[in-house]
Amino acid sequence: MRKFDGLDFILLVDDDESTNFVNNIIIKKAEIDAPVHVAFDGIEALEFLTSTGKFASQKTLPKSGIIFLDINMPVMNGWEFLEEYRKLNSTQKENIEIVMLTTSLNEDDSTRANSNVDIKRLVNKPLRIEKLNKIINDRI
Amino acid sequence: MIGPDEHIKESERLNDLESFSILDTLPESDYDNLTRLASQICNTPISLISLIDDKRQWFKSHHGLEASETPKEQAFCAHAINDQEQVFIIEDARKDIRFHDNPLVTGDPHVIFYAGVPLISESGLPLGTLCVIDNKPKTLSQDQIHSLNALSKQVMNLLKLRKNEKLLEQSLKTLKAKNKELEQFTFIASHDLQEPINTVISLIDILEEEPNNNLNAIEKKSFEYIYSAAHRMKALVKALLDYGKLGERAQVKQVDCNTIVKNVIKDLDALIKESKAQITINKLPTLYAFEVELMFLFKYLIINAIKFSKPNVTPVIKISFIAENLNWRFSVEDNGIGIDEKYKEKIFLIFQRLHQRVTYSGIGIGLSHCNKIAELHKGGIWVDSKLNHGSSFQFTINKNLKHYEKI
Repeated sequence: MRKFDGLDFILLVDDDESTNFVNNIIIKKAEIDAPVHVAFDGIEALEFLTSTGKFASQKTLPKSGIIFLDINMPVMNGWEFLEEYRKLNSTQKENIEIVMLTTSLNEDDSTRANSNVDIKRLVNKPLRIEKLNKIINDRI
Repeated sequence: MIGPDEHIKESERLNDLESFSILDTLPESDYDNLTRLASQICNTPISLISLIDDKRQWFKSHHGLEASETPKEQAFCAHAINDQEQVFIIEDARKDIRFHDNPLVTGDPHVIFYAGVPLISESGLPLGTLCVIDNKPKTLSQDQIHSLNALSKQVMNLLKLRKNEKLLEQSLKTLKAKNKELEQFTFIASHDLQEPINTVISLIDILEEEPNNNLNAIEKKSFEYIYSAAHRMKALVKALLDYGKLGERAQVKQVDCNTIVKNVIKDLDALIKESKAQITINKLPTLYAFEVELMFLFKYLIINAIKFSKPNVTPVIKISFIAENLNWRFSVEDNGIGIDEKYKEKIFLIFQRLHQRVTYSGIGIGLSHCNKIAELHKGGIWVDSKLNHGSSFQFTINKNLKHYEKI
């Protein structure tokens, strides 16, 4: 297992349980040593970042890690989450990287993602070990 | 003889004329009536609707003249369209330097008097003229000129109408072709997609039944997910296929909504008993509709009302209607969890869900089906709701569906 400085968490935001299961295994296979959390929609992702709701037991606010964000989710989708994310304190977000996961390289989605400063990159699903390694290596 | 100048915007003018696709069409009585009237009013033996292309003037209507076209160099109308005046009049062509030796003046049909009003298109370009011709000198009264102008506007109206009709015909044809294509696409795509999914499901079944499969926890879990993902895919594909086929072969007929809703309630007996839902139904109309589709619409809205009821609150559902001028408007009201204002439109889109799958199951197709059914009935569907304060789903059915024509 490889531990990385500044990688205190990986948050998987996806409403599909099996996708989260698979992504979890990919992270393990890439031998990345970081706590992996799962949020089933944008609201839960916000709860993680603010240590409320489902994540109320966290002692501190997560400050350094990667968020893998799905676009199409019920309750609060990826775009709606990003709107709320923008309002969070910027010092908290300095070391947080949002990677948007898309099912197909939809033109509209990619234009929209490119014009959003909070999205560091767009990755076509499914997530694979090579793609994950590239994201991690770029971070160091 | 002095031939006509080219119009200052000749190429634009020719394009405009071409867009009417009128040249070399058969005679039509609508146009012939107008030339006959022009002749009568101006008291001339000849009246023409002349359209001028790059080489000739062609007559859409030629009252009192055999020829159906003449060369452009000889055409009086080719002069008339360059004239800024409302009407171009030659009282005696024999005395006019431009026309005195024109074969149309010296020979048949002996054009001595000519008055032409340009036919101006919407882009302000002259396409030709409505003109009257006599073989003796003449003057027109103000009244006659006024009438000739009015008639030229009517010619232009006919031409515009024809152009719009052609456009409409073309769009309808394209629309029909596209719809057909889309139907085919959904059908083929969904059909071909089902095959591999079924194979995956069968193979998982085989593996699970293998007696000595020493699967570890991750492998087991993976199989579970493969199995549920394949089943979900199968359900999605089936829903897509159903959605595509909706209303495909349906026929409009007279149906009694009371019977329809009564049958739906009978179908849903188990669900209604289990949820203890109280359903009141007002007297409903008899109308023209697609029976099976309308049944689905009521059924789905009732199931929806029960599914999204508040926990530990008896679902109370009311079905009623209002006869509007053009539509029948139905409503299915409930006392359930309601919908946030911002999702009021999203819920009718295909495969959109508002809740996590664990909270409320489903693949997000029901209301898009309902939307398509309402559209099939030339109506619409929408929801009035407040979060936590129940929903009122309303849909309309056009009252004039009896003469329905499918596009």
